Amino acid sequence: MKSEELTRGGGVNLTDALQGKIAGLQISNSGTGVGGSTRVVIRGSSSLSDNNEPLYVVDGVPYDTGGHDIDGQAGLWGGTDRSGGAFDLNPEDIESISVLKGPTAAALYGSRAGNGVILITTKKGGAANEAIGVTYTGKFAWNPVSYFLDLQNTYGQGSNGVYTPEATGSWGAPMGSIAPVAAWWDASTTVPYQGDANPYKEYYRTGNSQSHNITVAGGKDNPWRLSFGRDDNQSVIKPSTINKTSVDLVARFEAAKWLHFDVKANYVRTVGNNRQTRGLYGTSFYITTLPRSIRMADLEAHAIDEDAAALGKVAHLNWYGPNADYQNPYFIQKQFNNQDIQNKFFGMGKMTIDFTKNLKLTVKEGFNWIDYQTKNWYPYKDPVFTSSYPEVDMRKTTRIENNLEGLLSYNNKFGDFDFGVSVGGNIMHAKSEGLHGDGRKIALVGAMFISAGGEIKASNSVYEKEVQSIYAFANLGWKNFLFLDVTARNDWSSTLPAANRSYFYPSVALSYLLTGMLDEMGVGYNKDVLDYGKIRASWAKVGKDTDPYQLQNTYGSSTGENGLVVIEQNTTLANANLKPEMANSFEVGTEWHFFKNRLGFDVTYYNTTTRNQVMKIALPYSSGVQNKWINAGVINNQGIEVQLYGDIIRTRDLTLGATLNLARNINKVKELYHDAETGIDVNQYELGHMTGNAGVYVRAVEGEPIGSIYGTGYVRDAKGNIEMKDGLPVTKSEVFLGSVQPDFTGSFGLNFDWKGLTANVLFNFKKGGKLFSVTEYSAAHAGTAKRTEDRQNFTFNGTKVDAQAFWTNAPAEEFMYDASYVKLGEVSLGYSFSRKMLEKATAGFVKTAKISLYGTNLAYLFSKTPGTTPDGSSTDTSIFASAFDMCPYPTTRNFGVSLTIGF
Amino acid sequence: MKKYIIPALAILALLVSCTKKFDEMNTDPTAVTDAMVQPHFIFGRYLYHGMCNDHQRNFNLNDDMYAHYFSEGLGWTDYWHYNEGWGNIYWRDFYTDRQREFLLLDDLFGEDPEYNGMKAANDIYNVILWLRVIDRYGDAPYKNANGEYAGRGNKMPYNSIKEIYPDLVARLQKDVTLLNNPGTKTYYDYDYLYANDWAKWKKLANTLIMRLAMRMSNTPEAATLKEAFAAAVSGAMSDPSDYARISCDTSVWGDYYDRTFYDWANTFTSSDFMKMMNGNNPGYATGVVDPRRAFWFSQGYKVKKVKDPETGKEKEEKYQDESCWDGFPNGNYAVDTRADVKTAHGGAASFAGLNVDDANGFFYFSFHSKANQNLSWCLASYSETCFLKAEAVLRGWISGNAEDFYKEGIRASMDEVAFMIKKSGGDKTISDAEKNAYIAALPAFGTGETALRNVIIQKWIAIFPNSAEAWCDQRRTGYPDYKSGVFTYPTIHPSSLVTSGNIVQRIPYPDNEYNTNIDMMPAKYQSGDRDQQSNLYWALGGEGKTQSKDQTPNNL
Repeated sequence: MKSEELTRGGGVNLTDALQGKIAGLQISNSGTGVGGSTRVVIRGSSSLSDNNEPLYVVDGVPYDTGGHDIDGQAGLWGGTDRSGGAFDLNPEDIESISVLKGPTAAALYGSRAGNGVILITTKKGGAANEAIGVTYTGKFAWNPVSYFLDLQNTYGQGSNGVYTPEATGSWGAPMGSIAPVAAWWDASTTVPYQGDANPYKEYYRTGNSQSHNITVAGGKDNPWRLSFGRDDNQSVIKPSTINKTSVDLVARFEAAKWLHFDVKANYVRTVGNNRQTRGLYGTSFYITTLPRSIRMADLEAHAIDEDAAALGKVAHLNWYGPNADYQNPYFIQKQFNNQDIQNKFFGMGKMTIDFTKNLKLTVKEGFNWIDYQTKNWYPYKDPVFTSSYPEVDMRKTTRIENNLEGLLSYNNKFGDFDFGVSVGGNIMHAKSEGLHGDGRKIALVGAMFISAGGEIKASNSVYEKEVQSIYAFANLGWKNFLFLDVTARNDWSSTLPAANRSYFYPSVALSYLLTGMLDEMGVGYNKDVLDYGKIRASWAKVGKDTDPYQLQNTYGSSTGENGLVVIEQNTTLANANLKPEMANSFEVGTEWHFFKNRLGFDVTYYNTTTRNQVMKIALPYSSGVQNKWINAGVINNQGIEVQLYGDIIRTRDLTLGATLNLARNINKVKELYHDAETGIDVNQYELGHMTGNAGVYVRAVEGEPIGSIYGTGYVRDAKGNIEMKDGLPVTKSEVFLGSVQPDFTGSFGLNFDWKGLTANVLFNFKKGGKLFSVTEYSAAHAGTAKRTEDRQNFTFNGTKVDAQAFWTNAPAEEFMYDASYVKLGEVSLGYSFSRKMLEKATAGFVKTAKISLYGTNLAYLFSKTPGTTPDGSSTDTSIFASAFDMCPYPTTRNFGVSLTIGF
Repeated sequence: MKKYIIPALAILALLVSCTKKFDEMNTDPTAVTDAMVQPHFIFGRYLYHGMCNDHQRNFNLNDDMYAHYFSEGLGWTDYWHYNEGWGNIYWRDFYTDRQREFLLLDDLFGEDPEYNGMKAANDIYNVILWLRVIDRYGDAPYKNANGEYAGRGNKMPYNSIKEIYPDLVARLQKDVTLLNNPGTKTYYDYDYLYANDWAKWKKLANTLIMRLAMRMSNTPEAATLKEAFAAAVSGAMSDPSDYARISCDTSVWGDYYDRTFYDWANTFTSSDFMKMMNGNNPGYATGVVDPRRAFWFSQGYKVKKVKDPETGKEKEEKYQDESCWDGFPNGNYAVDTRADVKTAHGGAASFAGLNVDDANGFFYFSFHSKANQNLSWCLASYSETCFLKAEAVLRGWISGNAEDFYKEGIRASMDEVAFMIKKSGGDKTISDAEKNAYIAALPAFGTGETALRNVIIQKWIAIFPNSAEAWCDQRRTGYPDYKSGVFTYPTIHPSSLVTSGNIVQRIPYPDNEYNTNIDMMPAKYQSGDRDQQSNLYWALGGEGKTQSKDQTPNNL
């Protein structure tokens, strides 16, 4: 995929730009808006520990997207999503991207490539002559909040149809039907019993962003390129901004005919300010459950009791409480402050020696160096969550990953045979060190530094691992139509015990080019009809190590109660016998092009089985430990991917083409863990749960796909009728409510090109998969959801029931939705000025110019969720979170304009 | 060409160095290893977390509510609703943290007599923690959890309460023997309970023997355990200063009463208990305000609107009346009336609160200075010992005058209250005149079952806030009873596993046991049944039975 195709949607985040453009690539956003995490899964999930992300490889070097200590995702209970688009290379620096879906690339890039590889080639500069070219690209985008939960707009605060100031729900009288009521912050004044038509719109603003990029490139024999980029984003919440600065330098130097050097240095600095907390304790949750008669403007004006704040007393004001369930979103905004700064250096130096025409040695050092710091500060005493506020908490992490690699390659041709052999070695060393300081219970009003704390905690952490590898690969071609590729790799990982630390994984791939054979054998065929026909098959095995420090039991230590040192045992049992994880996969595919490349398709079937996953199983607490690290599990993914393209019209000046991508993945947990010796049988594995009355669990269950949702549901009799008792349906816990796995996903695109005027339209779709609308669940319990509006004659199961009693007791099952959708994902319109026109107009000063208008996430043509969006609505990017639409920021539509000028 | 291949391969070989440093690399340099472990570092956490960790979910939301010391205004456990997420925490933390700490310590001490005191203290506290498991959940994995199978992750067979209780008593007797010769080693500053005062630990062990023996009063085991009871009396707690309590600071949510009462308004004082405090529960209390009331509780306030004479505008003014000493009714379920009850009474703040405010407050708590705060959790006391003796006389286990022991228990409790506030600099005491006035107003002590009811009801008040024991007594003896209305019968929550008319008796086993160890569980639960209402082994009426709100307890 070329860069134009990626950037036409104006994506600031590269992974967003890949959305819907490749079959079998599932991308979901965490709903955190600009700067949020994105989940990329190729060919379904195989890992129970949510380690399904592909490996990013930039110019041959693994790119560190931030590890366990960097990603800082938000969770169900809040937290701040700082992923900032884990892959944060400037899109303007990218020449092309290809996605290697199968595991055959693992021999070259190691076990992390087992989930697939996103291979990125960056722009290299260079020019036909020695002239220096300068290019400027500017983008401006607006992100209006556009998709909200449907709210009822009739009833205000109260209970049983009557207004009461002590009521927490919106079950009161019709709004406007009673005289103004005492203001919640001051009983001596009154406010109308009438709230905002759309409280979300009162709270969120239109986000916006602009980015500027300047590139200077030149060189003929020694090409070079320097680019500078700057992004400024303002999120939909007022104080929240993210700024990014990037510099990229690439150069190639030919020292001699047989020796040349490549260097790349990339620097990205990202500064995030006041990224918002999310999840059940995020601002959006409190807006969702706010009684409809409370006005947002009043909450904003009376969020803080300034007199109390000045004295260091609890200053949080809210219409009710405040307690964990009822908080003022404007207070949260002022209380939860954060900043994160990430300085990231990425690059490589490569030396290539051409000994002969056929024999070549490359030695390459690739490095990732991330310096990351976060600061959270909470200026007010506010004991809702912790008595430790006011508090300042700072973390600093330095993370380094080095890859030193050498590869010796030999290529030649003997008669009908083409062949190549390479042998290589790699050392991957990763280390991160963290420092954490925390000042709690700060008594000095306004002192937001650690040493002001009445209680000060500090700690440090280390994460280190190394993998050494040797590998070889060979390719053999016969008569330009039969090709064989064989690879083998052996890794030694520091994270595994000595007996198991060495593991070997090979692969074989065979492809057969029908058109090549016909050409070779001189068999005639109509070349106007058939251009290309290929069949391919491959088999591969990939081994994988684990995280450090899982082999021996240790203790933790901290300053504990009464200021004295405590030692704490680990409730997870280490395992000195861990083995590497192994995945076997098999794949067949075929690719055909017809009618001078006007029509083509590519179909692939794959089947991957992962065994011996390192996972943490639950043990009987009564055994003294909660979990243990083990190797277990057999998880299978199989599926079909189809890519189809065709040009409906193709003339010299006009092209109208269409593309269709379809992918179906069938995931099954075949086996989990059965240990005859200890008697422990694990046939379900919990990926996460939401306790409370909804009682929703997301699990991997033997015999089912990963991501089965269980929760409270209705009790049905033998005929399937819902049982009723005392005028309400009977409910029970642990009812199977559906699976997060979709039946199929895909996209349909149209592209149009007429004399430099281009237009693209992309539809994304997904069929199947379920989600639990936590947003609506919370709103229905609070009486704010649109569904609760029918109060006088509400019937359920054929009988009239009390709406308030029904909705405040409604089980999770009532809020399960089909996550299918069809959306107008992207529309873009561009015009490239012709060279002639520019030469005439600017006397040759401007060489290229292009202007584009684009919009993304424009409309859901089909969706069943209650106003929320069925994709991109969760707190983080885990399988667990994909089972929810979790009070995210309201999703935005995005509009933008971009301009590129080359001099 | 060969001349290139050899040196090139040599370069590649250099890249892959040796893996010797891997073992060191894979050892977390920020973790504590075995060599660094010393007993006191373990003991501090063991003591503290055993009582204070996650206090709201471990104690406040079950024992505190079930004993009607407190109520809550939200429709949770006070209505006996079933919340697995709260019910499992104590079980989990006990087995995976406290029990492993106990075993680790016991292992470090070995048989070295220099550690006798430490070893016995570790064991005595372990018995207290075991009680909190088996008195709530019932039968539980015990033998293997104390032995070599602990910490391995195996399935765990269950032991019955019938087997466990006598074993715990035997352990306490052995601890008493060890404490006769405690050795020289100490826990340094980490014995938060008695500061290595082994004599006090010994008294605690004897009081616990009495408690455990009495728990078996309705069972065949009583026949032998009453001997153990009688033997322990002389060595048991004998003074209000023997009070066993662990002071809490604000970490690990130890300051929960402050949080649940004032920051969150989740917890209220119970109207049943406050009626006793206010002396307006005819037939039980006395028309005399309990002199302990002002130490334990604080008066709520109401707000009225008055016209400001200067501005002519309406403004709010706080005021207090007698009803501000009321508690919030236990189990007042209906979603809507809960709010209405609060509103009608004068708002959430109009009910009696906990005395956290001044140095004479039993729950005195200070946000910025933890040095002199008073928040602590009680394990056992001299007053409890007195009531145990009174009951033992009534049961014919020991000789003596039950009524004298009963009155001594009440006086001891009043002295304990004054003793407790010393730490925060409190100087108030309860005078003999006040004690006598209270005792004089008590109903006639009576004989037999009547006397037992009086003993248990005054014990319920005297050992406040030790809700774990109060709830056990209620289940074991039926007092305070629902029939006479000392305990208000709640509206039962729809999610509750208690059927209407029955009484909550236990906390269901955690889901974790059902998921991972079900074939080891008592037969009754192997079908996956959760249960909140079946009697434990020692409860009134016998194991497996249920108790009714309409029952008239008959113990003797």
